Amino acid sequence: MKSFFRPARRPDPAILREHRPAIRSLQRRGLLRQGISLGALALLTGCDAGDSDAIGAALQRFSRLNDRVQAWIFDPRKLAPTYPASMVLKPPRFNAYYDITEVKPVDGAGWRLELSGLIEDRAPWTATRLAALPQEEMVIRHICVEGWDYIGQWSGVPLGDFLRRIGADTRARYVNFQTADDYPSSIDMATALHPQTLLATRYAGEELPDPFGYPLRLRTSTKLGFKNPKWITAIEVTNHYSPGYWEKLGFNWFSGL
Amino acid sequence: MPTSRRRRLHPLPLRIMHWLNAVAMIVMILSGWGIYNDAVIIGGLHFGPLRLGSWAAESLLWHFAGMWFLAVNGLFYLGYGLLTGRFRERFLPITLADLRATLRDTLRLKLVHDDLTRYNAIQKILYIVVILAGIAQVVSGLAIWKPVQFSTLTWLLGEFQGARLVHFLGMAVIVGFLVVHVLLALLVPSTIRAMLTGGPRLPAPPPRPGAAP
Amino acid sequence: MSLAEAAARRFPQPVRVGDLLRRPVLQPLESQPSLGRVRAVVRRADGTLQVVIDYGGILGFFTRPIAVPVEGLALLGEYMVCVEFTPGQLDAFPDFVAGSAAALPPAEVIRVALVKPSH
Repeated sequence: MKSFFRPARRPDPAILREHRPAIRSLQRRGLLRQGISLGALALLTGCDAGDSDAIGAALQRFSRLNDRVQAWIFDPRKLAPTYPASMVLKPPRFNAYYDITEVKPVDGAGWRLELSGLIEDRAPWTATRLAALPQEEMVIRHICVEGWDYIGQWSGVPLGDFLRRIGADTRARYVNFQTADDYPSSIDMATALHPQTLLATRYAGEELPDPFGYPLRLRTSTKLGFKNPKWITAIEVTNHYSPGYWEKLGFNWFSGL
Repeated sequence: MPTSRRRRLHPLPLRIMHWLNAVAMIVMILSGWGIYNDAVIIGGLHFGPLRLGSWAAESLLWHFAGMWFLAVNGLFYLGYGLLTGRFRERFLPITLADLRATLRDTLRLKLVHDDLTRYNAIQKILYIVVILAGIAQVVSGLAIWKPVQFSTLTWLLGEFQGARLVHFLGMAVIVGFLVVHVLLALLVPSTIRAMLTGGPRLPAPPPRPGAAP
Repeated sequence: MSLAEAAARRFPQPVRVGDLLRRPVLQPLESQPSLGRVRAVVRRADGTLQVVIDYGGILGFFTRPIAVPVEGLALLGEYMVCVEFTPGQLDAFPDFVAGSAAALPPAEVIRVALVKPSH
């Protein structure tokens, strides 16, 4: 079936490729796009710009309410469904806020995991030292906020085990992540301590491929895909809330499943 | 019984719930179309600019604010309809003879709605279907929103994509109803006036819920 | 930039031929229209790999097989996306003649580029 709103024939991909830098720079103007959209909203509702800001603020208040409701619904003992290995999608589905061609692989040998915040032992970790810790494996469904999903097989160190090993204050509210692709992210401590929250280093029994976050990424069964940062470089345990990449653009922070 | 004491066809609480639901439903449908666009269910079907919120983040904000109005208002409506006997009074009984007669009239394009206080068989069925569709939207919406916390529910609906499909089809039923409902209301404008002002007064006292028919 | 060079920049990943069979092939558009389904992966005499797609048609009927260079396609989850050819270009592809190239067995692993959702 053809959409009435889309051209039947798309432009020559070579043209798209040549103009990709220009397209990217346009895409980066996400905040501008939001501004335009509030204008469109004003047209729809017949409100002036001041009212649109008020609507945006009201919607954000509902999003904060939904954060609290989701934290209340979240059962730290409830495990996500797991699946047989035969259902695993190989390779997994790629997504990022940029195109696949702009993935910057991380050098595993030189990589260090930095630790900060409410942690007793903040010495950085190497990939070798992480690999020596007891590993877990899980076959879980990855669900993207966009509406697609797939079943993936992830292994690595449970984040809860790791946090306890490094003497993190597990009564703190947040675990924040920094990544090599400049994609800050943060999750609540209850989710960080969930048994199906892994610092994943392997997919389908193999070393994590570059586009999927080598050498270290987060995989938690209880949050939407965008809450699973790839190419993690630093972990912080804190009581200070800091929104992640997509949350800054308006997505809900808790985004639990 | 003096006229002023007799019930209106659409009592004030019902009217408030109707219009709240109308706004909430339109917000949910239009923001839902925006969310749908990022991973289409029917290849090629894309709602384009027909959406509330200019991109996913905004459509999601609308959807997850609107859901509270839809669900809470809907619960009040269900409670009201069941406890006051309104559902039984308006939607029952549905007889085969009535259905046959209505179908015959409809096919002859004889669309009369002289007595606003009485619904024909097709009207009754449509209202029941759309109420069930509304319930299905809340249930399948929960299954999509919380597929881990409510994993049994999501599994019952055919896992995550099954729940999305149910949610999509529920939307289609409601949009279909909406088109017919608005079209017929415009053809018989007294129905719109009735939903704004309360409409004609009813001849008899309300049936007691639970009483034998 | 050649097809092969463009595909190489898309981080080609190993995938079993058997996992590609029957996959829908989409256009890289927001509305995700389907172009057809993967029928086979074949190796031509010159060693290049092609994906045979049951192309066009309506609801899977009246399709015709065409052979598309594997470098022109990319993986999007459980779908393939035709990233390098427009439907207009694919229309001009000749029918794939059965037996004109050797089909790869399902267990064989090839490398296919990646793509992210089109929106």
